[in-house]
Amino acid sequence: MTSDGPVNGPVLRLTGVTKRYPGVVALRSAELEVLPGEVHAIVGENGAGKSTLMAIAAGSLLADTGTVEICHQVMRHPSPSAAQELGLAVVYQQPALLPDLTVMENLVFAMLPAWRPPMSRAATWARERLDLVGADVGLHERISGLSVADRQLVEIAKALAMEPRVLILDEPTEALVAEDVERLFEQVRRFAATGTAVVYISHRLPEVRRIADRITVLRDGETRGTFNMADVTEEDVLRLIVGRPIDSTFPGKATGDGADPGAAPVLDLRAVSGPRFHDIDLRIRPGEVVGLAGMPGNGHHDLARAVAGLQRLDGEVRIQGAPVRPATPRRALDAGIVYVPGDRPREGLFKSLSVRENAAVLTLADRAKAGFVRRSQERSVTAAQVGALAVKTPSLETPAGTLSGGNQQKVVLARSLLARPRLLIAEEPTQGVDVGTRLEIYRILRGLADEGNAVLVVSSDTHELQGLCDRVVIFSRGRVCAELEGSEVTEEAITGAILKGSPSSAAATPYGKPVGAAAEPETGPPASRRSPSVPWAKRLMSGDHAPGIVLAVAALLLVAFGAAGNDQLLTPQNFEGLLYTMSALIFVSLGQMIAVVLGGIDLSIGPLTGFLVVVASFLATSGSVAGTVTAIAAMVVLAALVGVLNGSMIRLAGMSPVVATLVAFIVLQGVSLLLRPLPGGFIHDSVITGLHATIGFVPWVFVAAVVVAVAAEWVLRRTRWGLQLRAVGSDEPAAHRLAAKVTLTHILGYGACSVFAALGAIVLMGQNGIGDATAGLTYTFSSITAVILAGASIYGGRGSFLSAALGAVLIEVTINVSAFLDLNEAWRHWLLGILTLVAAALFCGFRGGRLFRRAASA
Amino acid sequence: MNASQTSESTAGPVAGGTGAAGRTPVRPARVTVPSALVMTALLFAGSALFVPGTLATDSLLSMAPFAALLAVTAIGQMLVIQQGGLDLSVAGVISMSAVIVTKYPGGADSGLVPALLLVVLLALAVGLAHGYLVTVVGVTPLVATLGGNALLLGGVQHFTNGSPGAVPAGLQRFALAKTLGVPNTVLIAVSVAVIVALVVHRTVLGRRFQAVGANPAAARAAAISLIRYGTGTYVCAALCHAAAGVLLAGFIRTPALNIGDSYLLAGIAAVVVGGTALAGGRGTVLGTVLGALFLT
Repeated sequence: MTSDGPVNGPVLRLTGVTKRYPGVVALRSAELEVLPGEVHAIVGENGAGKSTLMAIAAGSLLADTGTVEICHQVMRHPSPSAAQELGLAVVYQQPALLPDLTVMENLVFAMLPAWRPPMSRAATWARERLDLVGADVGLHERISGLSVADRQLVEIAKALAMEPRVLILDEPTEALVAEDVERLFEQVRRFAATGTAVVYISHRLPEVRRIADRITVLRDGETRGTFNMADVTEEDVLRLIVGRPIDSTFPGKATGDGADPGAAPVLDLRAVSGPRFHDIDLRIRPGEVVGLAGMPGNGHHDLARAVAGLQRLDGEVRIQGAPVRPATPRRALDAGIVYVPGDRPREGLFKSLSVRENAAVLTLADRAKAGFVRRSQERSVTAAQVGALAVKTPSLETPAGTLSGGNQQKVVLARSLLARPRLLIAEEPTQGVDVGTRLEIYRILRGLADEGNAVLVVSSDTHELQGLCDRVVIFSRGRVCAELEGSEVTEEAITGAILKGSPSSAAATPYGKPVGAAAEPETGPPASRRSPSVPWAKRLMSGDHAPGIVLAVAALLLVAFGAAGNDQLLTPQNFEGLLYTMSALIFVSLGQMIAVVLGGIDLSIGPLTGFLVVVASFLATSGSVAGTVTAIAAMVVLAALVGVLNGSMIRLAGMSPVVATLVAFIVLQGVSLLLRPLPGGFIHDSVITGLHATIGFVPWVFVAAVVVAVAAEWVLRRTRWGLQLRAVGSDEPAAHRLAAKVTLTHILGYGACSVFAALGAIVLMGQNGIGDATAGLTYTFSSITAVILAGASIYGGRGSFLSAALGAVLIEVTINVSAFLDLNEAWRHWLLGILTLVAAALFCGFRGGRLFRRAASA
Repeated sequence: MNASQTSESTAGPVAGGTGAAGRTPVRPARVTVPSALVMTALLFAGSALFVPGTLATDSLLSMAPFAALLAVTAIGQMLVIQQGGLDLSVAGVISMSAVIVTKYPGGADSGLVPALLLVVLLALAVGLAHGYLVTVVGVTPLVATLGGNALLLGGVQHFTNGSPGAVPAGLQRFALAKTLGVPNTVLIAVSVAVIVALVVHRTVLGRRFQAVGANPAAARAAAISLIRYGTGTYVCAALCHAAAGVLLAGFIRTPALNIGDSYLLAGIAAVVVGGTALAGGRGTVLGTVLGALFLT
């Protein structure tokens, strides 16, 4: 501001930025100036407008008034790519990474055209980017297998790859442990030293104090000033953030006066062990708040969850002296153990249920008569508890998901308090909660202890542990490595103990647990920094191509088995017929695979195939070249139309793929029946003969099917289109943030899916030779089976066209062989059913059930 | 897909409370209907008009019983959909139940009771198997029930060798009879609807069931057994489909082997028209029943 030279002037300047939402002013004439080479912190409570401000700077949100200048250029048409082109990059708190894609693919996919390396050089290029930030990850590892810290580094590498002048880090340390925070800070200082401006958004004041040169405070959507870090104290900043003086951040600790020293401990663990903790002894007296700390993956989270009945636990557990076996959450609850999950959106809150239903869910039976819930009592009880915790909600019937983070957490606490805990286990009780509400939550927890109960807090926030806990137990490698009590409980001591407890060699340190393991903490050893060595079978089965090998082997074995039973099987005539039939299913399965990679499904693909043959039965009856070409053109065009309609119903009308394609199913089947109530309309012999032409005994349509499958696989793996398809299917919101054309991808994807069905219909036309409205119906099921056999993730993002083709091969071989072995109609159904179920169960077993994925992503 | 699911489920609880929550005084009126549901309803209605064969159109006289049967199986489907799943085994269970009540008694009334017991056992077995695959093994509901359906259809072929039989006269009399002027099938559908609605909305069991549908991981942390509730859902659904199958067989007397085929789509349609978001979460029995009526 003072200097006028372009080199020294601010590289990011926001002037008079105002943003209104219905009923709320998110930002009011906010001002921000960030200088090159500085680390500029932005602090404020949740809802103060930090995220809005940054979204506007990053071009992902449009301000009502005000301007954004990046590197002295006003952003006239704000968009994420416009901001990136001007030199601004954002590292989001939730990294915009695609879980099913590899590290390298993620890096390549995120680049704007100007920075995008050619596919041939991608590996070297990606390695360089990763080395720049010190990320020690494999290029071909999937993001879903990385630890949170590694994901963060990949995200930063991605941002830096476009050589930004301004780098925004949004709550970058929220998911990191102390050691990773240090590494991050080193990197941040390095970027700043090269002249990059770093905007550092955080609510962790101690961290901000260490890293930032200047600090801007936001409160209620207004900027409250920018200061040199050296000129202000933490208290000053806190006062500006909260807007009122803070007398005491934390409630007083236990005095020990009221406690009866002879009373049995509320919780008494003797030599308990579990998947990631061993021989733990822990006693918590009435009135005590005890903290568990350590780096993630060192067993303290697991111990807490195990006591809550969510994980296996061996050893002796006593609650108030009475032995308890918390084998299930229900048993733990019955013993008075109440658990407040750390991952609120995933495990804590029922977003779509009302505040009342959320608060009541643990204690439904307490207010029931003969199994029926008494509604008036439920209302009054929940209203009282929600009121006591001062939850800000329009009404008891408001969906809990619409409340702010802090109030959501209070609802979860209200639920827990209603269950009258003897022992409350709170994991990260204030994560994502604003400062004001934090204090209230601390008081609630302390209040519960003061009533003679015990509270166990698992937290990665050492400031919180210092302020809240009477005693802190530090874990390392599944064992207690230190215990701090009374005045020893300080941030420095806790951090010191955590660092000391771990072996000094960083490479050998358990370093953040992969998020996948967090979802199923029951399994596996402590996650290591490198991708853990998995059994070869598991590694094989979780790859994209592996199922194809298994399918090919299974098909060959089946043929051998069938040939042993009937020597007619191995004749060229049979093979010719088999390969021809197979081709139709291969084409249709390739189509289905597209829908599944997109995270959807196409139920209409069978009726569509039948419908197209019906269409052909009107047009391809003459045998003239013109007629045949018209028929084929009509089939392809109609198919594309149906596919585009499917995609549009899903994207533009917001219907789920199942519903949309079910509608298409009904309509297509109806139209087919109207056109051909009975089978009729003979396809001309010349067309049939042409389709059945062979090379040796191999029908050319089979060769075509194989070529198409290989080509489709190549497109999926090696082109931007394929990358985009998988990206959109893997994580749609993230893909959207990465400027992927989500809607277009869906519509074109379903279009392509239907065009593949048209190719299948052309083959089927030569097979049946007649228009039959019901001829295609079985293809829906068969193609889904083929895709399942191919090991595609039904949740999208993964799949292989080659495997899908081999899945189709296996299905047709099975049917063919069963015919030769004189198995009847029933066996065809059974074999298909068994194939589907066994394949699905196998893949679930190898990949770990993704049962909770829906909840996790909601 | 995630984004659309989320938006659907947050905007989802639309029709919630029309049925059982009538007495709640403070419940705010929920009038916003997501466009997706309206669109779906319109499209389904349109397609139902297009396709005379998909839905029952034998005659106006027979409409009520068909609507009733559709409602019974649709209620089963609704329970599964509310849990975020989809039951594609409808056709298999209906056809197999119909086969059991035609083949096992061989037309004799004396064989009816054991046949009905067999049907119940079948439904239990199917429901438990689906529940096990989905909740314990982790197979997607769509795939588990698709596979189950294939096994059931194979069973139909196996036990009939392709030729249908006739139900005992007793069952036919019951299915065709009226009590106080109301067809028995309608009475049964109404009872099923009332019982399911009461259980889902008013009981501890039902509230926990809703919680599992809303967020399975949170339900587990809240001491609700996912395996028990998940499996229970598939068992109830299979029982609903089986009941529809038995009544349908009684009504038609000599049911075709593919008698269940048209009920899968129509059942899902009824649920969707009835306002249950396919992404899971809330659903209403009344809406589903009305959906079934509307479709027939």
